[in-house]
Amino acid sequence: MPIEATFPPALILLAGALLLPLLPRNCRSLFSLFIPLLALGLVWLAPTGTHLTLALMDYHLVVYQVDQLSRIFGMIFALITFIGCLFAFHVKEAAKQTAALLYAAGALGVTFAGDFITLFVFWELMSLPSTYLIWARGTRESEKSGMRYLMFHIFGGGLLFAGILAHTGETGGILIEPLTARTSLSSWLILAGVALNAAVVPLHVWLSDAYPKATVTGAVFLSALTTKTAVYVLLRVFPGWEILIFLGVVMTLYGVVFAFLANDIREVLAYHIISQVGYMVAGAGIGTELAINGASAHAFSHILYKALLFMGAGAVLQTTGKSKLTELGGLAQKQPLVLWLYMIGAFSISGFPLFNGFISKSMVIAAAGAAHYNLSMLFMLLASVGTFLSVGLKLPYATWYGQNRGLSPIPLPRNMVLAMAVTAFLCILYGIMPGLLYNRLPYQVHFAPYTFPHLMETSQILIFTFAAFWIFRKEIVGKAGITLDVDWFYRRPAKWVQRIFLEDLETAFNKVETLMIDTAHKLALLSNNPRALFTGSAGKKNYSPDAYRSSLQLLILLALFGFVLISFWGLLSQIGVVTK
Amino acid sequence: MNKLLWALLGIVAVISLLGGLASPHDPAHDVWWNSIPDFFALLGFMGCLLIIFLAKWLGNLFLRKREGYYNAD
Repeated sequence: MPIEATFPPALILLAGALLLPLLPRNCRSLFSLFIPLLALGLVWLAPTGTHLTLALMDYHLVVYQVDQLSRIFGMIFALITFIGCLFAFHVKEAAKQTAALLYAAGALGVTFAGDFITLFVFWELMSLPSTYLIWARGTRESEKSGMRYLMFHIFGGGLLFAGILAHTGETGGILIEPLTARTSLSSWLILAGVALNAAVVPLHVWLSDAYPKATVTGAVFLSALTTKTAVYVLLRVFPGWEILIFLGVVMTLYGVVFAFLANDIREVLAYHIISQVGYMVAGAGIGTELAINGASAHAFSHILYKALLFMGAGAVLQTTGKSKLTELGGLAQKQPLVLWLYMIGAFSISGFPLFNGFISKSMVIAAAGAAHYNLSMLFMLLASVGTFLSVGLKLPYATWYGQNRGLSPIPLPRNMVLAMAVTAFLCILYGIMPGLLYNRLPYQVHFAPYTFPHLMETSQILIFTFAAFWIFRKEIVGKAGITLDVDWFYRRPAKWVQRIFLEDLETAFNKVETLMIDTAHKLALLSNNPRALFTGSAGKKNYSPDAYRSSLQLLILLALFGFVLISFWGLLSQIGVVTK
Repeated sequence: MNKLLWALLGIVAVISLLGGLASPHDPAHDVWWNSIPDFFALLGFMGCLLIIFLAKWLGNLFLRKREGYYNAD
């Protein structure tokens, strides 16, 4: 069957994932590059409209539906899968490559789903391969953390599915459309399920827990796909839900404060995913055309620069084996290229002019201002200060400058450098030519990022953040240790639950068992010689029937002796007969 | 950092401060901070300090624990 422009890209990725393990080892990496590229081409060419429907019992499933909003998300998902596969080109394990493609298939499936059932199927398709990308690191920490990640997503999937069932029960329809029923339980269940994947505080902790423990290459896919598919669903289903503005602003600030405390470089970046996704969640909550455009543009930019940052941090981990700020330092001379490619990502996330964060973050903030959410606007500006502080200053300062710890990094595979260079190029390209992105946004854009006041504002924020950092740079050295988060509520009690329900319970059972055996033993002793109870003859512990029988020994002895005598007599007389 | 970069940074800082004073405010979006000259420089500097010391304070208060805090689980 020839592939037409209306063929669903998710199915291409799915087919690619299933085919990949059957290919010879040497071809797999090339194949894993080709598949997302093909998917990207299909998304690029797909005309707006519904292209694939299926009938399931009485329901009409819309498997592939394209509009401006889904197209921009589909494009960036396919693009980042390609970049991630390039970064992982040297990885030859089929399981990892298959997991990455399956994960991307899930993300694209969700993006182009036109009904809730299709959405849910692809939503669930994402969770297991993404867990595998955490487990594949192979450490005990990643194994446990991956399990917590999976449990979280199974719970989130349950919430979403319950919501979808309730929604279908209420309305009779399964088609995805903006939900407006603010009092209906089904809407809130769906919102909770989606918010969990968007890492909305306080349902965020799976992210900061698991992403730092994923494989070096897997973290690139993780940073891009799960949270941003959830953002897409929020934009599609919950535009204008004011609670999302509040939650989004909380996320932006929560992320930067916790990122500042983190000691693992990928944990710093993970908390900044929460912070950056906060802008998008707030954008969904504002719900105006400018806000939806801003959130979509910011998702697009964020996926690029965050992947670049994770690649940079992953490169440090890969080449030195270290990922703690307190164990890194003095790498600038040894890894200048990694440093500068990382810094392009850092400039982008911090919103430097000429980098892609500048053209998208400002759009969300402007949308908040235009809708007169002034306090939210101020807090989002404050959060951008924290972003520059942690990702743009503290992390690179401690990793590449700071105390020289005599680390000697091994050379980085070329494909990893190339993937970082491609992403860095795109970050700058979209920063310099915002029109390339703006033309593809869901609504027509009436926003110009490069205005004189905006450039002055941004310069002031960045320069004076740097000034404060420089003056207090001695204050901010990292400390070894971990930061408690909401996970405390289930990880700490887990110990007590284990103690109460397993260890203490087992001890109690053991005690009762010992007691019972002891009692039985004593009772048995009692019944050993019941006669002694009545006769009072002490000393005889065990009952012996012989003690109470008349003696038969003598009688038997006499009988036997008589028998022997008679036999002997008989024998002698026989001998006498024979001799005569 | 060498002297040239510091000088460049100083020049950009002065330009941004002067430019900030000269920037017109959007009359459609009048907020209280528009009345503070060069508010965003203040936001950058004070915001940075706020985040550093708030995070450190929370860390010392109860958030930071030794490695292996959860290891018994």
